[in-house]
Amino acid sequence: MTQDSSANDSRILKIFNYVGGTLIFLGIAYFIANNWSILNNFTRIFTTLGSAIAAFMAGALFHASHKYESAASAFFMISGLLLPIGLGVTLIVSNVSWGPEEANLLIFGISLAAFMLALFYSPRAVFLLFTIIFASLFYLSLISFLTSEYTFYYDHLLDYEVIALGSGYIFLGYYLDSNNLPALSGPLYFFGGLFVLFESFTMGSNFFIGYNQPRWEIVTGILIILSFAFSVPLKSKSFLYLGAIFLILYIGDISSRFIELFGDLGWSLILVIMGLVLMLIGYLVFVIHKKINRIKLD
Amino acid sequence: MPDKKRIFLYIAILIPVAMILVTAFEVYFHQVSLNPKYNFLYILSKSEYGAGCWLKAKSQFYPETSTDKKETPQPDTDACKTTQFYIYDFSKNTSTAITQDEAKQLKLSPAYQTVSPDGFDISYYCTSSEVLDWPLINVNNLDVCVKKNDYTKRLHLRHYTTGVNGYYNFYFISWILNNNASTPGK
Repeated sequence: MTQDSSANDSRILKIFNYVGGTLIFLGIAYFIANNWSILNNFTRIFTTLGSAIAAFMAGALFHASHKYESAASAFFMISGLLLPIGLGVTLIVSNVSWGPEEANLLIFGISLAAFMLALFYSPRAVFLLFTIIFASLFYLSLISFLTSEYTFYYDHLLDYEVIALGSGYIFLGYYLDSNNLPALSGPLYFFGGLFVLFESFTMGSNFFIGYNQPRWEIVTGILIILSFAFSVPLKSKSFLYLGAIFLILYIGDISSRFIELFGDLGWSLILVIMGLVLMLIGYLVFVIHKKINRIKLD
Repeated sequence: MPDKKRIFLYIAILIPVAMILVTAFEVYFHQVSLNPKYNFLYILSKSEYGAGCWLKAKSQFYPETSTDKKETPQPDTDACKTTQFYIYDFSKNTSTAITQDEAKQLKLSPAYQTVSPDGFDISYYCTSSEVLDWPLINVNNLDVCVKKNDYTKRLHLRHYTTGVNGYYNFYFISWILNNNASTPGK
Protein backbone atom coordinates (compact mmCIF):
# COMPACT_ATOMS: atom_id res chain seq x y z
CA MET A 1 0.00 0.00 0.00
CA THR A 2 2.82 2.36 0.99
CA GLN A 3 4.76 1.31 -2.08
CA ASP A 4 1.74 2.05 -4.28
CA SER A 5 1.26 5.56 -2.89
CA SER A 6 4.98 6.25 -3.21
CA ALA A 7 4.87 5.15 -6.88
CA ASN A 8 1.84 7.37 -7.45
CA ASP A 9 3.57 10.36 -5.84
CA SER A 10 6.61 9.76 -8.02
CA ARG A 11 4.42 9.61 -11.13
CA ILE A 12 2.64 12.85 -10.19
CA LEU A 13 6.01 14.51 -9.58
CA LYS A 14 7.21 13.35 -13.00
CA ILE A 15 4.07 14.69 -14.69
CA PHE A 16 4.48 18.07 -12.98
CA ASN A 17 8.15 18.19 -13.99
CA TYR A 18 7.40 17.39 -17.61
CA VAL A 19 4.54 19.91 -17.77
CA GLY A 20 6.87 22.50 -16.19
CA GLY A 21 9.57 21.64 -18.72
CA THR A 22 7.11 22.02 -21.60
CA LEU A 23 5.99 25.41 -20.28
CA ILE A 24 9.61 26.58 -20.03
CA PHE A 25 10.18 25.48 -23.63
CA LEU A 26 7.01 27.26 -24.81
CA GLY A 27 8.04 30.39 -22.92
CA ILE A 28 11.44 30.49 -24.60
CA ALA A 29 9.93 29.72 -28.02
CA TYR A 30 7.30 32.48 -27.61
CA PHE A 31 9.91 34.98 -26.44
CA ILE A 32 12.11 34.33 -29.46
CA ALA A 33 9.29 34.29 -31.99
CA ASN A 34 7.81 37.48 -30.59
CA ASN A 35 11.08 39.40 -30.34
CA TRP A 36 13.02 37.93 -33.26
CA SER A 37 13.40 41.24 -35.10
CA ILE A 38 14.67 43.20 -32.08
CA LEU A 39 17.11 40.56 -30.82
CA ASN A 40 20.69 40.77 -31.96
CA ASN A 41 22.45 37.71 -33.34
CA PHE A 42 24.23 36.88 -30.10
CA THR A 43 20.98 36.97 -28.09
CA ARG A 44 19.24 34.82 -30.69
CA ILE A 45 21.87 32.10 -30.33
CA PHE A 46 22.23 32.58 -26.58
CA THR A 47 18.51 32.15 -25.87
CA THR A 48 18.14 29.04 -28.02
CA LEU A 49 21.38 27.07 -28.28
CA GLY A 50 22.64 28.55 -25.01
CA SER A 51 19.44 27.55 -23.21
CA ALA A 52 19.67 24.03 -24.67
CA ILE A 53 23.22 23.59 -23.36
CA ALA A 54 22.33 25.18 -20.00
CA ALA A 55 19.27 22.91 -19.63
CA PHE A 56 21.38 19.85 -20.42
CA MET A 57 23.97 20.88 -17.82
CA ALA A 58 21.24 21.52 -15.23
CA GLY A 59 19.80 18.08 -16.00
CA ALA A 60 23.24 16.50 -15.58
CA LEU A 61 23.67 18.24 -12.20
CA PHE A 62 20.23 17.09 -10.98
CA HIS A 63 21.06 13.60 -12.19
CA ALA A 64 24.39 13.64 -10.35
CA SER A 65 22.69 14.74 -7.10
CA HIS A 66 20.48 11.53 -7.18
CA LYS A 67 17.89 13.50 -5.23
CA TYR A 68 16.04 15.23 -8.06
CA GLU A 69 16.04 12.49 -10.70
CA SER A 70 12.66 13.41 -12.18
CA ALA A 71 13.65 17.09 -12.46
CA ALA A 72 16.74 15.92 -14.39
CA SER A 73 14.51 14.25 -17.00
CA ALA A 74 12.46 17.44 -17.43
CA PHE A 75 15.62 19.49 -18.04
CA PHE A 76 16.94 16.91 -20.50
CA MET A 77 13.59 17.19 -22.29
CA ILE A 78 13.92 21.00 -22.53
CA SER A 79 17.42 20.51 -23.90
CA GLY A 80 16.17 18.00 -26.48
CA LEU A 81 13.44 20.38 -27.65
CA LEU A 82 15.70 23.43 -27.82
CA LEU A 83 18.83 21.87 -29.32
CA PRO A 84 17.61 21.55 -32.95
CA ILE A 85 16.01 25.00 -32.76
CA GLY A 86 19.24 26.46 -31.38
CA LEU A 87 21.30 24.85 -34.13
CA GLY A 88 18.82 26.05 -36.75
CA VAL A 89 18.95 29.61 -35.39
CA THR A 90 22.77 29.46 -35.39
CA LEU A 91 22.75 28.46 -39.06
CA ILE A 92 20.27 31.20 -39.93
CA VAL A 93 22.33 33.81 -38.09
CA SER A 94 25.53 32.52 -39.75
CA ASN A 95 23.77 33.11 -43.09
CA VAL A 96 25.28 29.99 -44.62
CA SER A 97 24.45 29.34 -48.25
CA TRP A 98 23.13 25.83 -47.67
CA GLY A 99 19.98 24.22 -48.84
CA PRO A 100 17.47 22.93 -46.28
CA GLU A 101 18.69 19.34 -46.76
CA GLU A 102 22.28 20.09 -45.74
CA ALA A 103 21.12 22.21 -42.82
CA ASN A 104 18.71 19.53 -41.58
CA LEU A 105 21.38 16.88 -41.94
CA LEU A 106 23.77 18.87 -39.76
CA ILE A 107 21.16 19.87 -37.17
CA PHE A 108 19.74 16.39 -36.66
CA GLY A 109 23.17 14.74 -36.99
CA ILE A 110 24.56 16.83 -34.12
CA SER A 111 21.38 16.40 -32.04
CA LEU A 112 21.44 12.63 -32.61
CA ALA A 113 25.13 12.35 -31.72
CA ALA A 114 24.63 14.37 -28.50
CA PHE A 115 21.67 12.31 -27.27
CA MET A 116 23.15 8.99 -28.39
CA LEU A 117 26.27 9.76 -26.42
CA ALA A 118 24.15 10.70 -23.41
CA LEU A 119 22.19 7.43 -23.81
CA PHE A 120 25.44 5.50 -23.97
CA TYR A 121 26.59 6.97 -20.66
CA SER A 122 23.22 6.99 -18.92
CA PRO A 123 20.45 4.75 -20.27
CA ARG A 124 17.40 6.90 -19.45
CA ALA A 125 14.03 6.84 -21.21
CA VAL A 126 14.25 10.54 -22.11
CA PHE A 127 17.60 10.00 -23.89
CA LEU A 128 16.22 6.98 -25.71
CA LEU A 129 13.13 8.97 -26.74
CA PHE A 130 15.15 11.85 -28.20
CA THR A 131 17.63 9.43 -29.79
CA ILE A 132 14.72 7.78 -31.61
CA ILE A 133 13.22 11.16 -32.61
CA PHE A 134 16.53 12.58 -33.87
CA ALA A 135 17.50 9.31 -35.58
CA SER A 136 14.15 9.40 -37.43
CA LEU A 137 14.63 13.03 -38.46
CA PHE A 138 18.23 12.35 -39.48
CA TYR A 139 17.04 9.42 -41.59
CA LEU A 140 14.43 11.59 -43.34
CA SER A 141 16.99 14.39 -43.83
CA LEU A 142 19.55 11.99 -45.29
CA ILE A 143 17.12 10.64 -47.88
CA SER A 144 16.00 14.19 -48.64
CA PHE A 145 19.67 15.14 -49.09
CA LEU A 146 20.40 12.14 -51.33
CA THR A 147 17.55 13.01 -53.65
CA SER A 148 17.99 16.78 -53.63
CA GLU A 149 20.62 17.24 -56.35
CA TYR A 150 20.51 15.78 -59.84
CA THR A 151 17.47 13.83 -58.98
CA PHE A 152 15.10 11.58 -60.75
CA TYR A 153 11.63 12.45 -59.57
CA TYR A 154 10.52 9.54 -57.42
CA ASP A 155 6.83 8.89 -57.02
CA HIS A 156 5.84 7.76 -53.54
CA LEU A 157 9.37 8.01 -52.14
CA LEU A 158 8.00 9.59 -49.00
CA ASP A 159 5.50 6.75 -48.57
CA TYR A 160 8.25 4.13 -48.74
CA GLU A 161 10.45 6.16 -46.37
CA VAL A 162 7.72 6.33 -43.78
CA ILE A 163 6.80 2.64 -44.16
CA ALA A 164 10.45 1.69 -43.55
CA LEU A 165 10.55 3.99 -40.53
CA GLY A 166 7.30 2.57 -39.14
CA SER A 167 8.55 -1.01 -39.57
CA GLY A 168 11.73 -0.05 -37.72
CA TYR A 169 9.61 1.37 -34.87
CA ILE A 170 7.61 -1.86 -34.55
CA PHE A 171 10.75 -4.02 -34.32
CA LEU A 172 12.34 -1.59 -31.87
CA GLY A 173 9.15 -1.58 -29.80
CA TYR A 174 9.20 -5.36 -29.68
CA TYR A 175 12.86 -5.38 -28.66
CA LEU A 176 12.21 -2.89 -25.84
CA ASP A 177 9.10 -4.78 -24.71
CA SER A 178 10.89 -8.11 -24.62
CA ASN A 179 13.76 -6.56 -22.66
CA ASN A 180 11.40 -5.28 -19.96
CA LEU A 181 11.65 -1.67 -21.12
CA PRO A 182 7.97 -1.11 -21.88
CA ALA A 183 7.92 2.69 -21.36
CA LEU A 184 8.47 3.43 -25.05
CA SER A 185 7.23 0.22 -26.65
CA GLY A 186 3.58 1.41 -26.60
CA PRO A 187 4.23 4.70 -28.46
CA LEU A 188 6.58 2.85 -30.86
CA TYR A 189 3.89 0.29 -31.67
CA PHE A 190 1.35 3.08 -32.15
CA PHE A 191 3.47 5.27 -34.45
CA GLY A 192 4.97 2.24 -36.23
CA GLY A 193 1.54 0.79 -36.94
CA LEU A 194 0.13 4.18 -37.91
CA PHE A 195 2.99 4.98 -40.32
CA VAL A 196 2.85 1.60 -42.04
CA LEU A 197 -0.94 1.42 -42.33
CA PHE A 198 -1.42 5.07 -43.28
CA GLU A 199 1.19 5.06 -46.06
CA SER A 200 0.11 1.70 -47.36
CA PHE A 201 -3.51 2.91 -47.39
CA THR A 202 -2.43 6.15 -49.10
CA MET A 203 -0.88 4.20 -51.96
CA GLY A 204 -3.57 1.54 -52.16
CA SER A 205 -6.69 3.68 -51.98
CA ASN A 206 -8.49 6.26 -54.08
CA PHE A 207 -9.01 8.34 -50.98
CA PHE A 208 -5.89 10.55 -50.98
CA ILE A 209 -4.35 10.74 -54.44
CA GLY A 210 -7.35 9.89 -56.57
CA TYR A 211 -5.91 6.67 -57.96
CA ASN A 212 -4.70 3.50 -56.36
CA GLN A 213 -1.98 0.98 -56.95
CA PRO A 214 -3.68 -2.44 -56.98
CA ARG A 215 -0.73 -4.24 -55.38
CA TRP A 216 -0.81 -1.82 -52.45
CA GLU A 217 -4.55 -2.28 -52.16
CA ILE A 218 -3.90 -6.00 -51.56
CA VAL A 219 -0.94 -5.30 -49.24
CA THR A 220 -3.07 -2.89 -47.17
CA GLY A 221 -5.70 -5.59 -46.66
CA ILE A 222 -3.01 -8.04 -45.52
CA LEU A 223 -1.45 -5.45 -43.18
CA ILE A 224 -4.83 -4.74 -41.56
CA ILE A 225 -5.32 -8.47 -40.90
CA LEU A 226 -1.77 -8.66 -39.52
CA SER A 227 -2.38 -5.72 -37.19
CA PHE A 228 -5.34 -7.62 -35.66
CA ALA A 229 -3.35 -10.84 -35.56
CA PHE A 230 -0.33 -9.28 -33.84
CA SER A 231 -2.29 -7.21 -31.35
CA VAL A 232 -2.75 -10.24 -29.04
CA PRO A 233 0.80 -11.69 -28.94
CA LEU A 234 2.29 -8.16 -28.76
CA LYS A 235 -0.33 -7.12 -26.18
CA SER A 236 -0.79 -3.94 -28.19
CA LYS A 237 -4.10 -2.12 -28.08
CA SER A 238 -2.64 0.37 -30.59
CA PHE A 239 -2.50 -2.38 -33.22
CA LEU A 240 -6.05 -3.37 -32.40
CA TYR A 241 -7.54 0.13 -32.68
CA LEU A 242 -5.44 1.10 -35.70
CA GLY A 243 -6.48 -2.13 -37.41
CA ALA A 244 -10.14 -1.34 -36.68
CA ILE A 245 -9.90 2.27 -37.94
CA PHE A 246 -8.08 1.31 -41.13
CA LEU A 247 -10.43 -1.61 -41.74
CA ILE A 248 -13.38 0.81 -41.76
CA LEU A 249 -11.50 3.18 -44.09
CA TYR A 250 -10.42 0.29 -46.30
CA ILE A 251 -13.90 -1.13 -46.67
CA GLY A 252 -15.25 2.37 -47.32
CA ASP A 253 -12.66 2.79 -50.04
CA ILE A 254 -13.14 -0.53 -51.80
CA SER A 255 -16.92 -0.24 -51.52
CA SER A 256 -16.79 2.38 -54.28
CA ARG A 257 -16.47 -0.64 -56.57
CA PHE A 258 -20.08 -1.53 -55.75
CA ILE A 259 -21.22 1.58 -57.58
CA GLU A 260 -19.37 0.42 -60.69
CA LEU A 261 -21.00 -3.00 -60.38
CA PHE A 262 -24.52 -2.19 -59.19
CA GLY A 263 -25.06 1.38 -60.35
CA ASP A 264 -27.44 3.41 -58.14
CA LEU A 265 -28.21 0.35 -56.01
CA GLY A 266 -24.54 0.38 -55.00
CA TRP A 267 -25.05 3.24 -52.51
CA SER A 268 -27.67 1.43 -50.45
CA LEU A 269 -25.58 -1.72 -50.62
CA ILE A 270 -22.56 0.21 -49.30
CA LEU A 271 -24.57 1.52 -46.35
CA VAL A 272 -25.90 -1.94 -45.46
CA ILE A 273 -22.47 -3.55 -45.73
CA MET A 274 -20.78 -0.74 -43.80
CA GLY A 275 -23.36 -1.08 -41.00
CA LEU A 276 -22.77 -4.84 -40.75
CA VAL A 277 -19.00 -4.41 -40.91
CA LEU A 278 -19.04 -1.78 -38.16
CA MET A 279 -20.99 -4.15 -35.89
CA LEU A 280 -18.57 -6.97 -36.69
CA ILE A 281 -15.49 -4.81 -36.07
CA GLY A 282 -16.96 -3.57 -32.79
CA TYR A 283 -17.47 -7.15 -31.64
CA LEU A 284 -13.98 -8.16 -32.85
CA VAL A 285 -12.34 -5.26 -31.00
CA PHE A 286 -14.30 -6.07 -27.84
CA VAL A 287 -13.21 -9.74 -27.88
CA ILE A 288 -9.54 -9.01 -28.67
CA HIS A 289 -9.42 -6.20 -26.11
CA LYS A 290 -10.62 -8.62 -23.43
CA LYS A 291 -8.04 -11.18 -24.52
CA ILE A 292 -5.18 -8.61 -24.33
CA ASN A 293 -6.28 -7.54 -20.83
CA ARG A 294 -6.38 -11.17 -19.71
CA ILE A 295 -2.84 -11.80 -21.04
CA LYS A 296 -1.56 -8.65 -19.32
CA LEU A 297 -3.11 -9.75 -16.01
CA ASP A 298 -1.55 -13.22 -16.32
CA MET B 1 18.27 -15.65 -25.03
CA PRO B 2 19.08 -11.93 -24.73
CA ASP B 3 21.22 -12.21 -27.88
CA LYS B 4 18.31 -13.82 -29.69
CA LYS B 5 16.13 -10.84 -28.78
CA ARG B 6 18.81 -8.45 -29.92
CA ILE B 7 18.12 -9.52 -33.49
CA PHE B 8 14.95 -7.37 -33.38
CA LEU B 9 17.06 -4.33 -32.52
CA TYR B 10 19.33 -5.05 -35.48
CA ILE B 11 16.31 -5.46 -37.78
CA ALA B 12 14.89 -2.16 -36.47
CA ILE B 13 18.13 -0.40 -37.40
CA LEU B 14 18.69 -2.32 -40.63
CA ILE B 15 15.30 -1.46 -42.21
CA PRO B 16 15.91 2.33 -42.39
CA VAL B 17 19.58 1.70 -43.30
CA ALA B 18 18.44 -0.54 -46.18
CA MET B 19 16.01 2.19 -47.29
CA ILE B 20 18.86 4.73 -47.32
CA LEU B 21 21.11 2.36 -49.31
CA VAL B 22 18.37 1.55 -51.83
CA THR B 23 17.68 5.27 -52.31
CA ALA B 24 21.41 6.00 -52.71
CA PHE B 25 21.75 3.25 -55.35
CA GLU B 26 18.62 4.45 -57.13
CA VAL B 27 19.93 8.01 -57.20
CA TYR B 28 23.33 6.81 -58.41
CA PHE B 29 21.95 4.66 -61.22
CA HIS B 30 19.32 7.15 -62.29
CA GLN B 31 21.69 10.07 -62.11
CA VAL B 32 21.94 12.03 -65.30
CA SER B 33 23.77 15.22 -66.07
CA LEU B 34 21.38 17.97 -66.90
CA ASN B 35 23.39 20.52 -68.85
CA PRO B 36 21.16 22.76 -70.93
CA LYS B 37 22.93 24.45 -73.83
CA TYR B 38 20.90 27.60 -73.44
CA ASN B 39 21.05 30.03 -70.55
CA PHE B 40 17.98 31.91 -69.41
CA LEU B 41 16.95 35.40 -68.47
CA TYR B 42 14.96 36.04 -65.31
CA ILE B 43 13.99 38.81 -62.95
CA LEU B 44 13.93 39.09 -59.20
CA SER B 45 11.24 41.42 -57.98
CA LYS B 46 10.71 42.55 -54.43
CA SER B 47 7.52 44.35 -55.26
CA GLU B 48 4.17 43.16 -53.99
CA TYR B 49 3.06 43.60 -57.60
CA GLY B 50 5.62 40.92 -58.59
CA ALA B 51 3.43 39.42 -61.29
CA GLY B 52 2.66 42.91 -62.69
CA CYS B 53 6.38 43.75 -62.77
CA TRP B 54 7.04 40.46 -64.53
CA LEU B 55 4.46 41.30 -67.22
CA LYS B 56 5.91 44.78 -67.52
CA ALA B 57 9.45 43.41 -67.90
CA LYS B 58 8.26 40.86 -70.45
CA SER B 59 6.42 43.47 -72.50
CA GLN B 60 9.73 45.22 -73.15
CA PHE B 61 10.95 42.17 -75.04
CA TYR B 62 7.67 41.08 -76.56
CA PRO B 63 5.68 44.27 -77.25
CA GLU B 64 3.50 42.54 -79.83
CA THR B 65 2.12 40.07 -77.25
CA SER B 66 1.16 42.63 -74.64
CA THR B 67 -2.30 43.34 -76.11
CA ASP B 68 -4.15 42.65 -72.89
CA LYS B 69 -2.79 45.68 -71.07
CA LYS B 70 -6.19 46.65 -69.74
CA GLU B 71 -6.73 43.27 -68.11
CA THR B 72 -3.34 42.87 -66.45
CA PRO B 73 -2.52 44.89 -63.33
CA GLN B 74 -0.20 47.71 -64.30
CA PRO B 75 1.81 48.81 -61.29
CA ASP B 76 3.07 52.37 -61.13
CA THR B 77 6.69 52.97 -62.07
CA ASP B 78 7.96 53.06 -58.50
CA ALA B 79 6.49 49.68 -57.59
CA CYS B 80 8.79 47.87 -60.02
CA LYS B 81 11.90 49.86 -59.17
CA THR B 82 13.45 46.90 -57.36
CA THR B 83 13.14 44.64 -60.40
CA GLN B 84 16.55 43.37 -61.44
CA PHE B 85 17.44 41.33 -64.54
CA TYR B 86 19.74 38.29 -64.30
CA ILE B 87 21.22 35.72 -66.61
CA TYR B 88 21.62 32.19 -65.30
CA ASP B 89 24.75 30.64 -66.81
CA PHE B 90 24.54 26.83 -66.83
CA SER B 91 28.23 26.36 -67.67
CA LYS B 92 29.22 28.02 -64.39
CA ASN B 93 26.00 27.50 -62.44
CA THR B 94 25.98 31.15 -61.49
CA SER B 95 23.72 34.16 -61.92
CA THR B 96 24.92 37.50 -63.27
CA ALA B 97 23.02 40.74 -62.81
CA ILE B 98 22.58 42.75 -66.01
CA THR B 99 21.00 46.07 -66.88
CA GLN B 100 17.78 46.42 -68.81
CA ASP B 101 19.69 47.73 -71.84
CA GLU B 102 22.01 44.73 -71.81
CA ALA B 103 19.01 42.44 -71.56
CA LYS B 104 17.48 44.07 -74.64
CA GLN B 105 20.52 43.08 -76.70
CA LEU B 106 19.97 39.39 -76.05
CA LYS B 107 18.35 37.14 -78.59
CA LEU B 108 15.47 35.59 -76.74
CA SER B 109 13.22 32.63 -77.43
CA PRO B 110 9.67 33.42 -78.62
CA ALA B 111 7.16 34.73 -76.09
CA TYR B 112 5.39 32.06 -74.02
CA GLN B 113 7.98 29.44 -74.99
CA THR B 114 8.85 28.02 -71.62
CA VAL B 115 10.73 25.00 -72.97
CA SER B 116 14.24 25.58 -74.26
CA PRO B 117 15.17 24.45 -77.82
CA ASP B 118 16.96 21.45 -76.26
CA GLY B 119 13.90 20.45 -74.22
CA PHE B 120 14.51 21.90 -70.77
CA ASP B 121 11.95 23.64 -68.60
CA ILE B 122 12.27 25.83 -65.52
CA SER B 123 10.35 24.47 -62.56
CA TYR B 124 9.48 26.01 -59.20
CA TYR B 125 9.34 22.62 -57.48
CA CYS B 126 12.40 20.52 -56.82
CA THR B 127 12.61 17.55 -54.52
CA SER B 128 10.85 14.22 -54.23
CA SER B 129 11.09 14.08 -50.47
CA GLU B 130 9.87 17.20 -48.78
CA VAL B 131 9.19 16.25 -45.21
CA LEU B 132 11.81 18.54 -43.80
CA ASP B 133 12.12 21.86 -45.50
CA TRP B 134 12.54 23.40 -42.08
CA PRO B 135 14.45 25.42 -40.92
CA LEU B 136 16.21 27.40 -43.62
CA ILE B 137 13.21 27.86 -45.83
CA ASN B 138 13.27 31.64 -45.43
CA VAL B 139 16.99 31.96 -45.91
CA ASN B 140 17.89 29.75 -48.81
CA ASN B 141 14.83 28.90 -50.71
CA LEU B 142 16.66 27.04 -53.43
CA ASP B 143 13.43 26.08 -55.09
CA VAL B 144 14.12 26.83 -58.73
CA CYS B 145 15.02 23.81 -60.83
CA VAL B 146 15.73 22.94 -64.41
CA LYS B 147 13.66 20.00 -65.56
CA LYS B 148 13.67 17.56 -68.43
CA ASN B 149 11.24 14.63 -68.52
CA ASP B 150 11.32 13.14 -65.01
CA TYR B 151 14.70 14.60 -64.08
CA THR B 152 15.26 17.76 -62.14
CA LYS B 153 18.35 19.68 -61.10
CA ARG B 154 18.30 22.35 -58.46
CA LEU B 155 19.79 25.66 -59.53
CA HIS B 156 22.08 27.71 -57.35
CA LEU B 157 19.69 30.55 -57.46
CA ARG B 158 19.14 32.18 -54.13
CA HIS B 159 16.34 34.67 -54.13
CA TYR B 160 15.42 34.87 -50.49
CA THR B 161 17.65 36.91 -48.22
CA THR B 162 17.53 37.76 -44.56
CA GLY B 163 17.50 41.17 -42.94
CA VAL B 164 16.24 44.40 -44.40
CA ASN B 165 16.47 43.18 -47.99
CA GLY B 166 13.52 40.84 -47.53
CA TYR B 167 12.72 38.29 -50.18
CA TYR B 168 12.59 38.61 -53.92
CA ASN B 169 10.22 36.75 -56.17
CA PHE B 170 11.72 34.81 -59.02
CA TYR B 171 10.17 35.15 -62.50
CA PHE B 172 11.37 33.42 -65.62
CA ILE B 173 11.50 35.70 -68.68
CA SER B 174 13.00 33.72 -71.54
CA TRP B 175 15.63 31.35 -72.84
CA ILE B 176 18.65 33.06 -74.40
CA LEU B 177 19.38 31.82 -77.90
CA ASN B 178 22.74 33.58 -78.36
CA ASN B 179 24.74 32.25 -75.43
CA ASN B 180 27.91 34.17 -76.24
CA ALA B 181 26.07 37.23 -74.92
CA SER B 182 25.64 35.55 -71.53
CA THR B 183 28.47 37.37 -69.79
CA PRO B 184 27.95 41.04 -70.45
CA GLY B 185 30.89 43.32 -70.03
CA LYS B 186 33.37 40.76 -71.38
